[in-house]
Amino acid sequence: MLKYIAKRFGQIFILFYVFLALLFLLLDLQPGDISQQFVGNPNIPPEAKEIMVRQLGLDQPKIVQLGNHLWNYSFGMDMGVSWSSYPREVSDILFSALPRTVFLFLTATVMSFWLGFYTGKLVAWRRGTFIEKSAMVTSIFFWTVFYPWFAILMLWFFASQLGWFPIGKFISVEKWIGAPYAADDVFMLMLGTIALVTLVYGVARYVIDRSSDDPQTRRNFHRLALWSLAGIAGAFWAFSARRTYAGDILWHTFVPVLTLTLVNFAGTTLLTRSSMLETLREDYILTARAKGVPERTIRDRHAARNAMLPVTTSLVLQLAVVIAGGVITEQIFSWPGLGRALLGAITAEDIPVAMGALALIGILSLLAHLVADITYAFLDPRIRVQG
Amino acid sequence: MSNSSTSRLWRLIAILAIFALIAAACGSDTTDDTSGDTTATTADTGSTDDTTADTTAPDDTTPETTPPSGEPFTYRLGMTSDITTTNYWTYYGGGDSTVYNAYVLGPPKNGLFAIDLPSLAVVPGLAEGLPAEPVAEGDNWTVTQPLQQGVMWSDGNEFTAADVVFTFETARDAALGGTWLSAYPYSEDSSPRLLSLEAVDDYTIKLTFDVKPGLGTWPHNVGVNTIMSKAYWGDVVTEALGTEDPAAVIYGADGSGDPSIGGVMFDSWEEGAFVVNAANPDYSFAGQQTTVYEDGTVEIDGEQFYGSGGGNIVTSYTDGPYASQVTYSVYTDQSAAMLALINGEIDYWINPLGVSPGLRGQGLEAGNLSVAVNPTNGMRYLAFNLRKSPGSYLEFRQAVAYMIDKEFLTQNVLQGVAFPMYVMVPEGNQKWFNTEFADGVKAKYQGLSSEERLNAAMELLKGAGFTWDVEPTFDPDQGEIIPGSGITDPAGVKVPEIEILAPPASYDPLRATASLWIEGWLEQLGVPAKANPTDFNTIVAKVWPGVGEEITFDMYILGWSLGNPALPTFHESFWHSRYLAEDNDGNNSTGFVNAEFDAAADAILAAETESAAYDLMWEAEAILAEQLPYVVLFDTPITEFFSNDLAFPFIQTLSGLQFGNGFTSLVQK
Repeated sequence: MLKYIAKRFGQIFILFYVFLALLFLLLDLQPGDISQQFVGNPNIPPEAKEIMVRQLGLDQPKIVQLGNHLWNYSFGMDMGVSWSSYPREVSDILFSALPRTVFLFLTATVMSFWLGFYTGKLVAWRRGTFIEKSAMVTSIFFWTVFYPWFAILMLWFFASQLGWFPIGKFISVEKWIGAPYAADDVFMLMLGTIALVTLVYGVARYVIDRSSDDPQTRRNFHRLALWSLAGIAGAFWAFSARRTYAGDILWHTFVPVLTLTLVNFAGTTLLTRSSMLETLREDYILTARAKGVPERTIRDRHAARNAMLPVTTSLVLQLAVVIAGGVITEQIFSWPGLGRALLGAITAEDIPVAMGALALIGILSLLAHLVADITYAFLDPRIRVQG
Repeated sequence: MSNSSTSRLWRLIAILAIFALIAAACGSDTTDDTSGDTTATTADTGSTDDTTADTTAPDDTTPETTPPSGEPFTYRLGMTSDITTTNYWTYYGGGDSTVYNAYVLGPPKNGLFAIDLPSLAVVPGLAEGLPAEPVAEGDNWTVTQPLQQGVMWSDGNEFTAADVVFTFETARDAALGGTWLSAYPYSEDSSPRLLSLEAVDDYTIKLTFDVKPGLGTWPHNVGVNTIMSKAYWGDVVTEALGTEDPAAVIYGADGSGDPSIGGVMFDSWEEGAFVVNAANPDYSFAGQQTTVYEDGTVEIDGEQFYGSGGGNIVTSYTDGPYASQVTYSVYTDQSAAMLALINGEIDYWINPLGVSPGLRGQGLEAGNLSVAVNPTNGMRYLAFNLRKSPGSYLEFRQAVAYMIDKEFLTQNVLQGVAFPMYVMVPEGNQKWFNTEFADGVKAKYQGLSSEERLNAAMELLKGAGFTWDVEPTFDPDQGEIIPGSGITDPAGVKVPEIEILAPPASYDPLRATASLWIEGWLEQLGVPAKANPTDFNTIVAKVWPGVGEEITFDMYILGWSLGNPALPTFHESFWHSRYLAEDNDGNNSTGFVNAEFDAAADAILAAETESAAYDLMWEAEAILAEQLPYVVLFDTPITEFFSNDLAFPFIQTLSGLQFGNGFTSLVQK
């Protein structure tokens, strides 16, 4: 296995450099550069453009620019400075946008995965019933809906018509004026809480599973661990001075998360359903039924667990895409994340920021593929990796 | 359950309890963090606090002002893009020169002179009185300009001549680019060249030019440029000048504490979400009374400029600021911004293009919004490449101008969302527009039938020596032009297919549509043409391919925002032969070279009075109307919506409320 991982790392390393070089060439192919912005202003003389071109190194031969680009990425992940927010570091721009994107899309992905998996399991089990048909129609509607229209519709309905939620953005101006905290700090703390709870819950589950042989006892303690941790996290935030700010962020998160969940859960539903249907045809399911195993146990423990394999792989790969955020989502909901930074950089021809954002997405996608490969091997003991 | 299992589970519970304690401990840390963060934030905004402290302290040097009355309120603006910097040097100097930075960073600043809206007159800003006249001094020309006394920066320092000199020297010594470069013409290539700018005393500056500066140089360029605070930036600039790249150091400095000399001052920025400007309690011009009269007189605190107050009062207002805070929320989606406006989350959506036609209906239906429709200071045009046939033939350009039915295009095809233009200066710039001249040009083209257009175009083309395999004719029975084919230019070369580059419908449906109709009109003339919807950047790359590169386009349709409306100097920038795109990537993309025009354009810049500049400008316009490097097509008005609760002293102003950065010091609620 270690040999396999090492080999995959090597492949990823080479692939990353090919990706970086292609990225540079592709972005460079788009006409013009940032100095063209002066074209619209008759009061600015041509020399101003020359100064900018020189200052940003755009006067250097392309091969030198490419070399610098690869060299900088190789040593210290230096992504350079932004052209449209000169001379701010690209990494500073991206890493300040990253927590907001991770928070929004991670929440939405987990929600849509949970909803999709549950629905998929249910509709596969109740094949041919009204529940399956209505669930499938609903899923396919959300799966095929024109997303920008749907997102605007959600905003219009929940924010404008009902007035329950704000019209996009990620924080309220009124609440945050003079706030003693930066929004990013609160975001980081919220993400940290989620990460800590997840980690501790994972450890707790591991310990519980090793501590008891009785499934019911394990389930009870799983629940106890989960609720305890949720309670502790809840208490932590309830007594924190940041709670109103965190609450404001959550309030702003609701509509985009709901929108993303509705649109994305269908994919997991359809995948889970087809995987479940395949699993339900297996002999061991028939054997379990013959043995008199309760239907619910067959569904949840025998069928759904095995059906999870492709779904889990899909989730791992999806998590990498999560980091990229969604240009459309962030644009419509005025959510200042990585997707919006990428869009802004491309429209402003800020190549370093666009490159940095895409490189970050590339790295995470490559790593996600590696994790998916490894997870696959672990999840299914029948799979033997040829080292 | 076995005993050992039970025991292990108890151990697990203990572990969970420990985690709970750790989390609780983190909770108490949080409380500590809170106070720490608060302290840090207070320290970060120290300048703001200092300002508040200064405000409470009596200041004898501040001129006596009338504080505006009324309840303080928050003026809530929405923007579709965030600012990219808080540093004014950076905004003016390069890649950060976005309109959104201007909206937020502009109001705290001032120049020696300001352009008054809506009159477009140059009025005193930080200078005392109107611009001083240049006088000969040896081989050079000097301007000695007195400055206002007792004007305070928001950090409590007094504005003096040292600030003006510092701003100029920083731009020059650090070789700042962008607008700084054009604002101070110090380079050897400049003419007139600004040789020096020095302080005579604390309240007088002296500028020295190598030749007599016209209005275009002084005051409309150097005079209206923003002045920066020496007290705040002095150390940063000194340190920067000791480095290899001073501009980068200056651009990289934090500008959030930059003191204000305007009605508002920068307060805070939550990146990606909002920016806040707060009222400047030390604003030296608070309570200043301005009245604009119909005859162009601008009266400021009883002192009249440019007239004696004839005719009706156009507008009269007292400088605030009335709003205690100005917030700029970022809504990146236009539909969301419109919803926010309708729902009352914001008072005004500040946007350089105004509200798009698709959203206007929503605004008009909303009962809580008022609308302002204003002409803009821009134009959309069809440009020829005069370097190659057939664009190089004057008669061809004139024939195309005849064929384009602008009234039909704007009223019938574009459904009245645009208005036709016949001269380069937009009608909305009433100060500089020449109605008589524009009507004369319009009369040549307006109201012609298809047959008359065709006949006029054919006469021109035939006169120049163009020939056809099949000549276009007019069918009176059908009332249609029967297109010709096989047109050959006077040199005997068959005219190849002409490509009309235009932005795609997704970028600008008006120009995309216009290009299709122009293609049709060219086809009627027998000129093979193809409208090619092309990405904006691709058009720019083809039109301005770089110094020394061959420029091969046939025709293109783009638009211009025309810069300073108080003294339109764009003629020189667009068509002077010194700005040929192939020579220095200048704005003269068409390759228009005309000595008579060059002389007129130079003379506009050198004009010493506005009336002289006006006459010269229309001389230049007459040449352009004849030579037609561009066929100016149309422009659209800017439509803006704002809350009924807001009261602006005026809403009829060139390029709309956004051009005045939302009038943050004048708006009341």
